[in-house]
Amino acid sequence: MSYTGSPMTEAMYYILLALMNPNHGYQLMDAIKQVSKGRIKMGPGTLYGVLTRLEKDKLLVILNDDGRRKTYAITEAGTTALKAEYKRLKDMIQDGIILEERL
Amino acid sequence: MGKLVKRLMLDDIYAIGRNESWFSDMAKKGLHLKKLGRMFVYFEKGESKKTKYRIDIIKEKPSQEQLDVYHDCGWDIVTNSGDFHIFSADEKSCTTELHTDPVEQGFSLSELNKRLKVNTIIISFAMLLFFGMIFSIYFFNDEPFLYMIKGQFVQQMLLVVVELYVFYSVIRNYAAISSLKKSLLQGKAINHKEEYRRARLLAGILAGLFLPVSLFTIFIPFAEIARSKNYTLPEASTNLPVIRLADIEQNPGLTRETGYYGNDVDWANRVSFDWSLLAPVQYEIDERGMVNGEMWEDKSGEYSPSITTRFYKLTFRSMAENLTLDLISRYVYRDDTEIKAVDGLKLDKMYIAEEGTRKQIFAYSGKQVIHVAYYGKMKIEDIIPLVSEKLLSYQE
Repeated sequence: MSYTGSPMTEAMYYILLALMNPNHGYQLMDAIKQVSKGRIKMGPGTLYGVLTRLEKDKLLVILNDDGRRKTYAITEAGTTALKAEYKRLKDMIQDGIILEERL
Repeated sequence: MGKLVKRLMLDDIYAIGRNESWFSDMAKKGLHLKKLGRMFVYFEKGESKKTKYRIDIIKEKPSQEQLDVYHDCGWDIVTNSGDFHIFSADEKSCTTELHTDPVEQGFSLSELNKRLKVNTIIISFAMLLFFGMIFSIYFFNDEPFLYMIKGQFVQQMLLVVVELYVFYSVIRNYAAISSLKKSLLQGKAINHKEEYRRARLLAGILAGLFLPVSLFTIFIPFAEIARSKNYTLPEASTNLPVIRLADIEQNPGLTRETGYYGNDVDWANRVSFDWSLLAPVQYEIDERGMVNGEMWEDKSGEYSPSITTRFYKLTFRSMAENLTLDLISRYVYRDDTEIKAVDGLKLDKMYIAEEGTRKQIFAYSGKQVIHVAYYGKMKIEDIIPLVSEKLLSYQE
């Protein structure tokens, strides 16, 4: 299922975010934990499922594959999609600000 | 290494939740999943353990790095069957769940789902073709009963059953993955403790019914070939269900005229025996004679009468009439030939047809059907009693 600009899953969003710095699958887990400040604990099945899908959709590329390790990096299309999603989420937060006043 | 124990798979590999739950229960009994075959699942005997199993569909063979990541999260690969990779983790260790995002897991099923959909469409067309073929064989055939007892009717019907079962499996698998994908995309995680006993039992019963049927289907043609035989009709009298030329001609000058010899069989004086489930006794017996010094009435050559006897013993009495009618349709060539019923005999029914020197008698009694085609000068009225008597008196 190629990405069509619909809302991203949490997993997809954080993986793209973590890949702003090219990384190994191995360290991505930690990177995601860091970038989400420990909030997200992603299952390995989900991680590799998303990586496979995003690579197919050309939102990320494999920079280097020495047979043992693959280095993933976000593509331009990936960055654009991520930024669009960030803006969408920000707008949503903005819109939700009225809740703050009620709390 | 412990002893390997095998169990029938029974359920579909596509029933992910049910299989995960089954494997976990087996581990509790000390049987730890080792390998998946097409028919069997292999378990290694050991201590009872609480193990979680997860079936992950991964198209490309997972890299070592990927497996390392899974391992670090507590998941070790056990085995795989095609794209279906099975991971296990100790129930007690606090592992991260293999899939933490049902929607993403749903996406990962897209490709498999598409493949199964294509399969379903292809097999649907194939089934349509297959049924059209079977249907046309019997529906557009002028002699369906003759075809049924001669051809592989029973086998074809069993094949229909087998095809239907295969069709059902393909649809069932597609439906399973399609609905799993749908529920994952709605954010519902797989139930890893799904009840599996009923599905296994049902699949077992179905397979138990289906397997003998398919074996039987394979076996029938071999039985047919094994029982079929051809040999030269002995000149002396036999116990075969046959009307002999000598009995008709009553002419001491009658000698045998041999025909083409092949495989040590005189094909003009030949006994051919066949077996099928619907007609366990099928004889086709040819005999050809010659009377030295005697000519055909039209002086076309030396008088050489011949006769073919077809004799069938059917499994079902109810097919006798239809087979007789089919034989008439098959062997009376001219449309304007008059077919007369002969009454006043002890058998169930007899018909005769005369086309010049070709004289034919069709009759049935109980499960036995006879057809005699005689070329010669003798009158059909003189042959009728011979046929009637042979039909009524023949015992194997």
